[in-house]
Amino acid sequence: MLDRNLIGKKYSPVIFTVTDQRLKFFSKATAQTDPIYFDHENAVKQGYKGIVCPPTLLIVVGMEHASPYQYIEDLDIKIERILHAEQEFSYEEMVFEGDTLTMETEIIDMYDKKDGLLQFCVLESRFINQNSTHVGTLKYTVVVR
Amino acid sequence: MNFNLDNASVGDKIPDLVIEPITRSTLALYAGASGDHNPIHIDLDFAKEAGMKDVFAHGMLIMAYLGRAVTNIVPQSNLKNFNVRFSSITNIGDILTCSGEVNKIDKNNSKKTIVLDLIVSDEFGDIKISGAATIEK
Repeated sequence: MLDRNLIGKKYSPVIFTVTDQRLKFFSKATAQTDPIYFDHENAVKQGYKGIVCPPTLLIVVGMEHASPYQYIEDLDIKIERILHAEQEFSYEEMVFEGDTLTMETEIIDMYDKKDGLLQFCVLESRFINQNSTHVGTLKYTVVVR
Repeated sequence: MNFNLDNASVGDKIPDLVIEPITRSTLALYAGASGDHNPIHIDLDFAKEAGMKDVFAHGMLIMAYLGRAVTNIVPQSNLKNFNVRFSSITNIGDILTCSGEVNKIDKNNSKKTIVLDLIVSDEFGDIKISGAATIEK
């Protein structure tokens, strides 16, 4: 059984500047074909202030944490027992190259299914940009098998 | 196949997006680009040790593909929510198709909200992830 006292636990923030290199690399890795996601000039021509962060890019910010798998250690389980179960993004504002995001993460829920055989942990991360605007929120649900 | 958001109706399908077969390089590249270095996706020895037959794809890679299917038809500024449930593992060699259809349209004053139901399946029809996107116009 996962330690439910961890619900409410907050992790130290991550500050992450979205670089054009990172966006180009992410686009390559996801076989992106729309140039607004990797070509600055094209993005500007289409009215954006720079290369556009694609819908799932926010997920990479958490990986820049000094210890991105700290919650797995806190849950006291081995990384190979974790599977990504659900993922949700809510968007308030778009994010572009050059933006600096601050991510704050908290464990917001834990529950189980199949009489405790499958245990779930939900982390929520909120993203604020350099203008203190809330740009989006993600919910990351893992299942421990 | 054309899809026009302005006159879409419930049941309309968005154009399928077919992805090149998943390779080990695909996973290595995504590990680097995403910063997700979990060895279960890139290290065969580790995966076997953990009881898997082989490495398998990052769920978030598959969600990124699905995001492409959505932004192919909608400007990203209209995308308000994007959520998925991961139902099965994507293996090396799988050929994925991202598909979707209009599930709901709400008109409220000048605002129109469209919910797309989304699925990624392999060449055998096995569902890898399913979810939804909420679009506002």
